[in-house]
Amino acid sequence: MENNIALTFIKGKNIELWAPTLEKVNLYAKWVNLPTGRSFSRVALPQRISELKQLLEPKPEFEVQANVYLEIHHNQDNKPIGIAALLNIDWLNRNAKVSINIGEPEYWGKGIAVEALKLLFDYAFEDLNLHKLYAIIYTPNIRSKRVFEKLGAQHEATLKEEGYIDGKYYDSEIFTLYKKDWLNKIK
Amino acid sequence: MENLSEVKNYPFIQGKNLSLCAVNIDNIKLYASWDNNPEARKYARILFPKTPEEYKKYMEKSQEGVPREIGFELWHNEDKKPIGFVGFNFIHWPNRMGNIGLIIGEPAYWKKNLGFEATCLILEYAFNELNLNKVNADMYDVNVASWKICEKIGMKREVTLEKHVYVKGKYTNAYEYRIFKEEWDELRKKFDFK
Amino acid sequence: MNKEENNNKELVYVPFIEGENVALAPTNIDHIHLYAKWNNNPKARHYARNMIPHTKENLKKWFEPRAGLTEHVGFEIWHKKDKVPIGTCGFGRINWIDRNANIYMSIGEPEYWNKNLGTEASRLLIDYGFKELNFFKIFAGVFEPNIRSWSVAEKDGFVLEGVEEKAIYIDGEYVDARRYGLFKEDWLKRQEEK
Repeated sequence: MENNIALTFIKGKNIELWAPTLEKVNLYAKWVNLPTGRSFSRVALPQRISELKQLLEPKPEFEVQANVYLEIHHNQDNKPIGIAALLNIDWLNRNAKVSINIGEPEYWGKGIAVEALKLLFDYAFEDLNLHKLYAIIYTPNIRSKRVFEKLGAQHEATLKEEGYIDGKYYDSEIFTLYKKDWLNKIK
Repeated sequence: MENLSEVKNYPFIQGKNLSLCAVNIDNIKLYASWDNNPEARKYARILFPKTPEEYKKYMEKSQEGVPREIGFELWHNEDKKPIGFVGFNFIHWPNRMGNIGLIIGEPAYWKKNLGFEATCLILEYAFNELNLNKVNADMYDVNVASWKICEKIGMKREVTLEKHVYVKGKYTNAYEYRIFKEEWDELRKKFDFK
Repeated sequence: MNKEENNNKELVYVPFIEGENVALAPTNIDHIHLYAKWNNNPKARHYARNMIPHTKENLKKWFEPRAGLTEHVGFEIWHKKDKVPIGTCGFGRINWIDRNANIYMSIGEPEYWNKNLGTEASRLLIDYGFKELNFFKIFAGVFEPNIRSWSVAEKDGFVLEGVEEKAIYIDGEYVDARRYGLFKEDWLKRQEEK
């Protein structure tokens, strides 16, 4: 079986978003459990490979998909470097949570998150017809907040003392983006 | 590129440039790449990333009784490789009606009239072997290549569904085309696809 | 038959949407004998046929626990005064991205026909579809001979989008199907004008 077939789903300049595959689940597990990355990404429990496998299993036909996982693939280096996802898609209210994890630390600080999220937002608004996207970010996670602000997301609410990290309670901030604001921005 | 002599195919219907073959579980990664390809899936209404495992699941589904769906791999005779799919999305046996779908997954094979040939082959199969009375095809208006094939064959546009699909930020129309067996029996005489 | 009266005593009334003479309630696996009766009654099912045949096993499948949204939302129609369920209605083929769905409606008990109850139930359902489920468009397929049904649809503002010829085989002959569509903004406009 060919191993180098591209599963490109969305094309970008420096990265592409690919369909995930079960055969890479060990890599995904490594990223999600990464000690340096996970504290502010709200991952307090060890993520088991078997559970990740379940997330990627094909769902029954009649069920409408509530989560979309996409592998971030670096074009030039030709390798997977992280996951971008739409989670808890509420089709009736037409909103979803945005999640991104650059699993390979050497790719941090290079504008990859911004590019990946731009592609993800286009997909969420232009293809999936969602009304609103949101991200939940802990107050000290300045880097993440900067990424979302750069994309035009606004701070909408603060949930006080919502997370327990490293022995203390932290506030969570909800950043939101609406379809009409996004589509006006890119036109 | 892997050794071509090892690539297996199981032709079921032979056409001039294409053959229709059974789907091949060894090719699920290739199938996934077609359905995920942003250019190919743009008009095929594929909105969620497809993992290769989904195709395995589909192929492992037991065919108890008469199948509702029938799919074929499109095999390029001369280049000896799979280039897409054609088949029935659903068949309603009592009504003797089938709804067809087609995707040429390899962009290098677009604009070569192969979609037209694949459609002719599947219509032959529908009317002469499955004994269907009517075949439908639907697509959205922006999928020009698709409805141009229907028009070229002589299918009739029965329904225009206004603002029926959401594509790239706006609502756009969908078309339903149809062809009856009697119509095909007449029209096929003009075409050279076998 | 007495069996029916006994079943009435066990029937549980849980209104979800209330109208003047009818109410829409969630479907209930304990009422499956009623659904089977209605779906199989030759008089009732004559024009209510859709693409999927109904067996008790199929019906039971609707009640399997579901993790999230599906393509279907269904209701029981209750006659408020007589406190009995008289039919089913709902939305099928829901596309949450395109924000549209197929509406279906069937009064299963013959003694409740011709009393405009189906009309009232559909209006409640359409309101629910646009205002609560946030649909952009509702579509419907009605077979040509079912004049009563498509006259009501047209009166409610559904627009004919096309006719599928020989869409279904009923009692020895093929029958056409009319395809209708109704947009949210048009429905709301009509309500304002009333």
